[in-house]
Amino acid sequence: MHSDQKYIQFLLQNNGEGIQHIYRRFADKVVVLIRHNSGSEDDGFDMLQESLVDIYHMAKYKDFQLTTSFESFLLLVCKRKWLNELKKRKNKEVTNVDNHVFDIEDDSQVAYMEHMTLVEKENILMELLDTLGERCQEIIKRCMVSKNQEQIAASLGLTYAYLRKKKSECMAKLGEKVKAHPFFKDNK
Amino acid sequence: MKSREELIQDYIDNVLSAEDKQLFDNLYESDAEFRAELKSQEEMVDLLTHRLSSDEQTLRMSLTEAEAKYRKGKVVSWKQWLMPLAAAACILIVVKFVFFPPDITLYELPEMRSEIVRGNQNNEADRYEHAVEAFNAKDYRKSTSILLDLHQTNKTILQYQFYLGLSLIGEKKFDEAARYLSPLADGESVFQQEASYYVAIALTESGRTEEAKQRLSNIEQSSKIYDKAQKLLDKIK
Repeated sequence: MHSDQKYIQFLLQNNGEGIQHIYRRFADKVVVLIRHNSGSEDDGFDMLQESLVDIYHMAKYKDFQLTTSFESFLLLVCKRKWLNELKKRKNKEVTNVDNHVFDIEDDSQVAYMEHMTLVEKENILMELLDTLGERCQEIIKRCMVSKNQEQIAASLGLTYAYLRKKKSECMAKLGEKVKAHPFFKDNK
Repeated sequence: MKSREELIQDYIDNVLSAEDKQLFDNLYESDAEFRAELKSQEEMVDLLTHRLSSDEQTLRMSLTEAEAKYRKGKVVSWKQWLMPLAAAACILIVVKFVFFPPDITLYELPEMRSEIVRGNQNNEADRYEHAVEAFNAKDYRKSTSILLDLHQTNKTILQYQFYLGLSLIGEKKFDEAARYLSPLADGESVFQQEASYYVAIALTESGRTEEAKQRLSNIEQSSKIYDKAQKLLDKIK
């Protein structure tokens, strides 16, 4: 186990002291990286928070292993997220992106690729879920965390049969959105 | 007969009946598209279950707190900024109170979302879409009429009841709006938090500010509408 695994544990255990330690140790490095690549200080802190959340989700997969220093891993996740963010913003005027820094084909990326892709899929899926009607969102969210669908139906004031029918409609609708999303097309 | 989507979900949830299992097996054997759809749905269920069973919100609160502490600690000297900040604050206060009316965004109604389901062309869905059009065009008299009808036809769909309440607010029928929204605010559906907020709007408009305050203070910090609720609470206090 890598000695920097402790930082991962801080996130998994939601350890307040440990998380503050992560900020003291790594925040400046992330902010400098983002500021040198067309971002502001606020962008830097946003990327840091989003990347730490992504790392938390990756670490929740049982087979995830930290194979580099936490700093290298964190900066890798931040770079990838920031590059995606820049693409999203379609910022044609971004000229100050350091291509060397954003050499995303480095070795450490390959080792983490599978988990980074999984978490990106999760992030996009959650965004797509948010575009469904509120009823669908409620049904899907509840059915994914509890297997007792009879109880869910009762709490929503629905019959069990109607809940099952509606759930399949909602999941099909979400499936259509997933199918149409370029990220899922490219990462089947 | 069950749809393909229902068969897939029943299979994933392990609740296929013997009869449906035969149907499922036939489709699985003969239809490559069905197999692809099943694979995609299984992947979605795995990803959603993983994400939704996490405790992301609690972690985000800790991260936000750590960021605030860290950034606060980095501010070396307030003194050099104090005078310009104080001057800017004075100007903002003057601009806010002299040139701008009170914050009307707190009373704005949200957009009503379309629920179009591909292939679902039934009458109820059509009527709902008409309600969406009318509501978003602020033709609340029309949206109320359609939503009331839908609500009376199917009281299990809480979405109808929620937007009916909002539509009544749009029509300035605040007492009626509160009557439809209050059960949702007292329930535990996805509409609970937002319903509490709009009940509070209806109560405020009816002059029942104490009850409105009570509703607003019950809105949870994790709710999307929490910030607006706090602003409204400050305003009516």
